[in-house]
Amino acid sequence: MEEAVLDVRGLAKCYGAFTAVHDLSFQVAPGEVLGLVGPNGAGKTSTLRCLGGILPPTRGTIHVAGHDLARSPVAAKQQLAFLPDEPRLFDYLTVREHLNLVARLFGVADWEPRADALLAELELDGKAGVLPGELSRGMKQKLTIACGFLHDPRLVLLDEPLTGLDPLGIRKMKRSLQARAEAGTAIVLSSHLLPLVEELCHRVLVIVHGRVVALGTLAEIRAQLGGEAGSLEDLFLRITADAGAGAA
Amino acid sequence: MKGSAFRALTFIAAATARNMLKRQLRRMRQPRYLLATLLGLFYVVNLFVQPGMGSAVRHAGPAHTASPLIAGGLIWWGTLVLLFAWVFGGDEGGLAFSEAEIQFLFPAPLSRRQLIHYKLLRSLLFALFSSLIFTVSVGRRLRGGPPFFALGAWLGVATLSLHLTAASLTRLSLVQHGVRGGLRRLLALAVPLAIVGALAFGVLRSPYPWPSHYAEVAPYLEHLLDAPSVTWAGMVVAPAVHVALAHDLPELLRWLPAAAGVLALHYLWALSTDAAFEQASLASSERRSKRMEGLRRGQLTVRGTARPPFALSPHGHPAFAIYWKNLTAAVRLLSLRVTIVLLMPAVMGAVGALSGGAALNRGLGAILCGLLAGSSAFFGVQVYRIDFRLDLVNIDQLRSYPLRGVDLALAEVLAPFTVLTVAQWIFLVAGAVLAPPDLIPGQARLPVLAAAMMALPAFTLCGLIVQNAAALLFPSWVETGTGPPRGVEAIGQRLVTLVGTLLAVAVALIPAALVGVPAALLLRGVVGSAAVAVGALAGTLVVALEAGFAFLGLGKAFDRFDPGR
Repeated sequence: MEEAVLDVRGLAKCYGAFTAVHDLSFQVAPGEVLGLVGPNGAGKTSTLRCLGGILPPTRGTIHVAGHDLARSPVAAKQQLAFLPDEPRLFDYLTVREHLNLVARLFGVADWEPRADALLAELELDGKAGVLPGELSRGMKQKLTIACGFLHDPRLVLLDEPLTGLDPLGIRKMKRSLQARAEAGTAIVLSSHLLPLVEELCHRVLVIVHGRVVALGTLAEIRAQLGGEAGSLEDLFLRITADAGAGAA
Repeated sequence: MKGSAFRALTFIAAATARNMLKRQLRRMRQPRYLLATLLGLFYVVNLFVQPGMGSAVRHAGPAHTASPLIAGGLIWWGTLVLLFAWVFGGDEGGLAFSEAEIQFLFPAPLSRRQLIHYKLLRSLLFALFSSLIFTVSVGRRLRGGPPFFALGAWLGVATLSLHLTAASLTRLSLVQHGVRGGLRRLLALAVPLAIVGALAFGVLRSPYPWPSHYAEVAPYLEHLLDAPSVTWAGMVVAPAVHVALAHDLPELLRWLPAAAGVLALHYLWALSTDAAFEQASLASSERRSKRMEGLRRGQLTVRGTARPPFALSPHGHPAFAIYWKNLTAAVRLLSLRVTIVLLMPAVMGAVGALSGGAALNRGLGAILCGLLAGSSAFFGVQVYRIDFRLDLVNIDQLRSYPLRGVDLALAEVLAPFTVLTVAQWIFLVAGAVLAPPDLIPGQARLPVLAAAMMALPAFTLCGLIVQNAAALLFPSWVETGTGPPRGVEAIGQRLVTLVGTLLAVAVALIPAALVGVPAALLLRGVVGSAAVAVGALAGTLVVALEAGFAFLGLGKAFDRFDPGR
């Protein structure tokens, strides 16, 4: 396997006495799209927030492009983009000023042509001077995506990236993610939209109650389940039902 | 209200109160919130339930009978609130329903009247909380004591609240009846024009001459407040203020019927409007929700897209982007109302200076400028929250940026520091220019100005660092994602914050004083009055050194900050 862009070993996240994520280990190679799926409360968002350097892990290590996220957070964060499910924007900065801010933070010298291209790609080119308060939920999501892509990160973490997007936006977003993966960007995508995960992801990581219950390509997971046929949705329901029964 | 509707609405109120209490109890599992709650409880119990309550001698210090000036000040403060509501209030405010109330109550089989009753009764309940805050703040040392003050404050706050609601519904009704444009604005301005007219009439017809000396100001104002037209202009608020400031039971009973009557009339006024408030309430709720989402801590509104203070280059230290962002916020969050309040003393000072340079006017202008500069160092730090306190809502963004905690902390705190320092310098220079020689002698003017221009920002920086440290260490007191603290915890929190801030700032300033004061005293014989400036410079350098260490601590606190907790 090519040197991993994301290398996670023994990741655990506890909130007081509650353990949200147990001993998670996996790697993501350049150009690979990993789908993170699981039922509500499985620990997907906690995992993503740990990978993005937002939550400090309770145990374990995370390396992004060779940089230890705990020891060299600045170098590691320089290589990644975290796109949350709920777009959080600064209400007093316009669309273009958000991109300007990100350009300075990540040192993107040629940010203006890049920003123009991203705004055009995400159909925000008419909204450059607008404050977030005047944008719809979907447009805010697009702006968050544009900010995440501006510095060409080597690792993109997406939590429910298509929430709020219209059908055309969803199609464009899918193409954009595929194009970035083909260009070598590693992507971790968390979503409840299993057809999307099936369509975009090379491998799938299924977690239930914070524990890994399946990791691999769809074919590998089918093989683990005794060659059971069906879509990712069918497999997911089977795996999570088994895991739920096991936990009970 | 019909029985079932009344039960449903009281259920909402009771369930809300019960769940707030449960949440409060859960928060109290953490020692810091338990401490705040216990402190708040202790303060409230000490205030209301101690033996001999109502007696004029229960405090160590003497209790005060409020002077006519205090009563007049309170009456005109309330009247100004009404005036601002009419002048700045929108035409489509409606009743303020929360999004949940709109979702559940609007489709429910409730009449308009029942919904209005519900909102009005809730506003009376909320007024109770506000009156408690006022009582804790100012009512403690008055002769009538906290109970009288609390009752009057509740009547006053409730009346103001109902007035704002009724005014908003009346304006909406005018719109819905097709009264548009200039006529509507004229009708909306009738109340403020009447108030201002009555005040102007009182000034013009006053038999007393305009004061020409400081000592004449207070008697002049007392006579002005006694003028019939001025008394009439404040009649909405006056009965409640007199109840609050009553020094014995007979006086309270004399004013209580009038205050209760004014409140009842306002209730009837709000209830009688025929405005179809639903659509306006929906729009208003959405606007409020959006505003709250991003600006919970600042309680400010984004005003347009004024240009950022400077263009941000993509080259250079990345933390500078945060500084630029916060300065841009400073430009865009400055509301018209705040601007007017800030400019008022400067305008008064300018008028004073232009009106022949009368010593009294120039002196008043200088004092106002000095007060504003001084208060910005203390209150500005509490109010101007364009730093971690505003940004904690976007903590996920901040933590995903490739920045060291110390750099981020420096950028966050320096933005409000810059704005407050510039404001302080403007007011200090204006004050120094306006001050007549008997206030600040000519040869001391420049050194005193220079000393103040260093000492005030140093004090401000200490306050900002403490406030931001509190935000990182006590995030639930700042972050309102799960609702701001209310009730006794809020009182305790304010006590802890105030005492903590004062203590921390005092401790930070001790080394500065130990260096600056002896330096000034030693050099006085050599450089004369310039020693003040030299002492201030030495003290400021010490504060700067301390601030350097404090920023390292703030950076570590941010790096260790866990948004998941």
